[in-house]
Amino acid sequence: MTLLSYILITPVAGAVITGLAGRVNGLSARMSAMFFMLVGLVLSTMLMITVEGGTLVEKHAWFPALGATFHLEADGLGALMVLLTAIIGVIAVLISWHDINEKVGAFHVWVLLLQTGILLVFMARDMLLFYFGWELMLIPMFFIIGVWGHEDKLYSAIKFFLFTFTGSIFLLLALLYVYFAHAAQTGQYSFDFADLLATKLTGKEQRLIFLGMFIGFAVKVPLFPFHTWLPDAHTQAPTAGSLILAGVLLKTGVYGIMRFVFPLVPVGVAAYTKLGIALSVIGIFYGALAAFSQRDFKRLVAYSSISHLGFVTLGLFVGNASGYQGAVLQMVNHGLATGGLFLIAGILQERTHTRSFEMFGGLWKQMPTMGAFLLFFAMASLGIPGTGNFVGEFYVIAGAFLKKWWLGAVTSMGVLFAAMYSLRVFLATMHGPESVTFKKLPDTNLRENVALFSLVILLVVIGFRPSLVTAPLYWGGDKLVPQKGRSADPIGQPKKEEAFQTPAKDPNLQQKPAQTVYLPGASLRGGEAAL
Amino acid sequence: MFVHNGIPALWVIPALPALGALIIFLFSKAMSPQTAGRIACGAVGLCFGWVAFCSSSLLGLPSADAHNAPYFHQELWTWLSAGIVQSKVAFLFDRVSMVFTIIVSGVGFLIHLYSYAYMDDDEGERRYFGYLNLFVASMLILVTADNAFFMFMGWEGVGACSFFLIGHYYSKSENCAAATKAFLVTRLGDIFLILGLLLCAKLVGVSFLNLSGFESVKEMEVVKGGWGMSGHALLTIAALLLLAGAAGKSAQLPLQTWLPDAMAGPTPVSALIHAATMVTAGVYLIARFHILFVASGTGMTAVAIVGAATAFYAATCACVQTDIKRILAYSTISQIGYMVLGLGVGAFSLGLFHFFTHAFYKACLFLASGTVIHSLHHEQNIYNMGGLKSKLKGTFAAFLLGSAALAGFPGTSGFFSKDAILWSALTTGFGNPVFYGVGLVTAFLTAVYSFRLIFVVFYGAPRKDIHVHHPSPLLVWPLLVLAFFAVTIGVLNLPGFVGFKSLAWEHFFHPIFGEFQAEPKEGWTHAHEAIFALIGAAVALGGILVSYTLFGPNAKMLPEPAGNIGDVENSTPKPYKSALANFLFHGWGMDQLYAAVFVRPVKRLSMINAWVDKVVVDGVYELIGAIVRAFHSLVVSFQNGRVGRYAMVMLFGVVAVTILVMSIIPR
Repeated sequence: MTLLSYILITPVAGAVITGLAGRVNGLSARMSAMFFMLVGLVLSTMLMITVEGGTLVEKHAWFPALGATFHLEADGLGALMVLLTAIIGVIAVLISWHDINEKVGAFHVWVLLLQTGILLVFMARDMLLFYFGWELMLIPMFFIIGVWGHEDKLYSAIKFFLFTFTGSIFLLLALLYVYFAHAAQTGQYSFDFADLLATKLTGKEQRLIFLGMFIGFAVKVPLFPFHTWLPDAHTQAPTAGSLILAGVLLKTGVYGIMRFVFPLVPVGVAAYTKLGIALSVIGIFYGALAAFSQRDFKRLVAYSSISHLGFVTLGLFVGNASGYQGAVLQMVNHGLATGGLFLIAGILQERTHTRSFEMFGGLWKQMPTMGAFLLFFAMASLGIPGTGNFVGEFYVIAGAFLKKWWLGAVTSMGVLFAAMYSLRVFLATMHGPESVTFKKLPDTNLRENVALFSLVILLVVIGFRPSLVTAPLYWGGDKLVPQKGRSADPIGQPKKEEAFQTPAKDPNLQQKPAQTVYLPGASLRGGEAAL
Repeated sequence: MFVHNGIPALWVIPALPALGALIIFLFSKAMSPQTAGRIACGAVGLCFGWVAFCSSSLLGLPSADAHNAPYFHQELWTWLSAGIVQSKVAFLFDRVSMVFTIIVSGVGFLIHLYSYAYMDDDEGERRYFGYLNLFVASMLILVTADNAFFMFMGWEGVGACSFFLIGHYYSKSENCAAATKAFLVTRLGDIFLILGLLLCAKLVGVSFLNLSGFESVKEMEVVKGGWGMSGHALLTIAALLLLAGAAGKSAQLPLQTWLPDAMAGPTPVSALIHAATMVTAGVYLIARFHILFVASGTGMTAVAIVGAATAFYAATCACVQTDIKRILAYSTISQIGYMVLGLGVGAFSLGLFHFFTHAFYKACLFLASGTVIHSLHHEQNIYNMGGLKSKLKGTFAAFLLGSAALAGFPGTSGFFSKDAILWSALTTGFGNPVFYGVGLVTAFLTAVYSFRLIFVVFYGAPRKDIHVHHPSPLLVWPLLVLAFFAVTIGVLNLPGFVGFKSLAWEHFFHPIFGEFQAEPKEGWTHAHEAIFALIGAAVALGGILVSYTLFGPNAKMLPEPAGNIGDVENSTPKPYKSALANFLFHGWGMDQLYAAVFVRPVKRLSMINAWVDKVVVDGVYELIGAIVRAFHSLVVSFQNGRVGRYAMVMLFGVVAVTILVMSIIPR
């Protein structure tokens, strides 16, 4: 048992105890959920410290007959995502304090189980275990939207379920194909990703597998044209649901592409790079344009997510260090900034029972503090320097620019469109003649300020020290970062000008000596250390 | 901590106002508006003191040869590091930074003091001072950053603060429209800028962005080409991209449309952001990247053309505006056009000198107009004013001196700085008679419209019965300080023919711009310069005379007095009988053009896109859903609600899928 198991067990135990506490009353369920989320946050922070400079691995027997093991692993990227999940989890419970008033116990149980699924996705290295976590995320989210959602909750919940479930079938088929191919080649059945990586796959097979896995993950991201479930799910979900959805759930799709697709089928990726780039760029503009004319606060933010996630996948597909670092930064920043916007949408809805811009306007006088927060998050969303979002988008644009100059030029225009819808969110809510309907809305309270302010701090810190996010990517031998001169470069050949850059001259970045459960870069293909 | 080895800590310069903003925002609910104002003024005042200390330390250093101006440099930590994007949080304080920081913190301090009185009865005073301090911090980052990417942080930061402050009076939707317009148009420029910076980083590496790595054009000429273009062509593209970025921020053609509307903000904001500091960021940028522009050659010509055209364009518009602030806004655009023209003909230090003098007289004029507006209870139409000379004595004095400097009245600072640019436009290698001619015509128009303001606002009989309430001293004496400098600061760079202490400013900047600074060609002498100075003086006096006959107290009739302009964005009022005057009044119809070509199409596209997403893209999935539901009635027999049956069906399904997968695996 290592920290990884503890991190995974915490929300499971939390779900059980919260379920029991929920039988007493709502408050004890909230307290219990909060306690376990905080424990999770502490453990995740410890994980970040433990993993620093290396990788943490844990393996147990699971289903020997199938060749499935209980294989957890966390490198810098994994630890980062685990930490993000934990932070979002705490804020989710905090923001539901007054938002959720029915079946409080059950709600928190589902949130904790959802947390478990997400954590499993970020830590599992056994594909069966991964798939288990992947499906585990579905059910709690289905209930969170379907039971505690808003007016159209059932339609949205089912839509969410059908889309992601259909996507996962493609993913499952692709994984099974590799599983059986590996068994046919070696005579051994194994779901372990490290084993599967050794499978010899022809170009045609790689392309096929790429498409299967890509569809599975792209639905989750979501990439155009698989995105239509997202506006509905986001709009109808309760605040905590939207927050987790935007903050981490969408990131599992990106993470899957990054962690599994690129290393497993480099030829397939190379063949479909143009498709990936095209879908990403379409998503950037399509999402932004659609966002601009929405009348519903949450729907606008949901479409903006499609645009932001387009930047993330674009960063992955351009295949250089800038793009890759930008993608990861943007994953984190988008979670924090969009999460903040969803919190504000929730705060407004709690007070006004509407999300329609037509009802808002001129609220600044009544809610100055919330106005300041909304202004900050709108600015973050349009990528103002000083917030992490700028760095992320800028890295992606630089990566695209290095790939093809016109690609960078086109992408950078997305920033202008981001400004259009971000300003609209702010202006339509806070500016203009004072609303006739709402006269005395209470400003944000201490609990809400804590939740919002923690997001602000994180965004500003990342904005000034982006290496806090990008440096972990190089822990454990940067197997995932595109670099110069790799034999089997997973993302096509980087151009000459794209010299691999050491992220920061941080003395802590040197590889730690092996610990008991530390296997530096032994598990993945082509793991030569570049630092 | 603050002084190390005789080098003052540079991070303190932006940190002081940033700290002020932070305190105001964190504790705004606990403090009174007056406290917020005092904190803001104190922060900028301290900052000015620190800048003065830094400047005196810098001036105390021995001046070295032509290529090595003394400077301070400090690195804090690595900010960006990915591929070609390398940037540190690091500060550079050289002579260019020094001039800009003095203006930003010094004029900024006076404007903060003025704001303290001006915003006294405003409900958003705390918010106002918070953002004003944040603006000063961003602007100081802009002018002290040691590399272009870190500079970009300040560059975008000032844009954001400008947006906040233009929309300060948030309950009017036209103010929101103005703020949005300002943000979006400048951001379009920013995108060009960032692409230009990326191209620079790719072409000449990181060191170039430290702005001190290249010492001769030769070094730039070895830049390798790419993408099927020569290195020189790429340098030109980079220069043009930077120029587009500068045009966005500095309201130059064709991205100038946002500045007149930006006057929706409080008047001190217009003075600080939209006259003295932020809008001159483009001048700073081009001056910093002068090597690139000179190496490109074409880039210099483009800069000069943009500058001359903008100077003329905006001067024509300023002549017919009826809103006192819009007149000054167009005048600012026009004056920045002069600065850009100066840069474009290679007179970099003269472009900076015009920035320096302009900051004083334009801030003075804006603040004075603010006092007028404040005293007349927010009346801004000059045709509703008149006869204010005796009622607002101090303000009138400041306004007169500021207008004299703006008009280039002989002996004032504006005369020297403008005349030096015109002289360079004619005589340097990059200059030609066309630039000079356009500049001279613009100088004439400038004199006309600046004294039109004086005559219409302060002379004649009051045209409307307006109660004038007496301004508080804090609304007057900052104007007089600025007016003093507006008149006298020209002594820093007297023309060459004067002899005594002449060209001090140019000598001061010679180590920075070195060989890139274009000197008059062979054959142009001090005698010529004196003649052209006389021509400049005559043109300015002539303009004032024309203004007097048209608008002066003895003028037979004033041009058609207009009603209030109203919402210029959404309607096209026609205040004049003459079609030409109305055309100029609407800025040559460029707003309408952009609305038709960009704004409305994008809005329509957005609506269409939202519709397509809902009906077409989602429709496909809905169709699939409908088909599945049709199947559902077919297979409904399987769904009898028994878990056992489901499990069996599922098992069959899994087996079927597995067999399928196994069979398609190639052996």
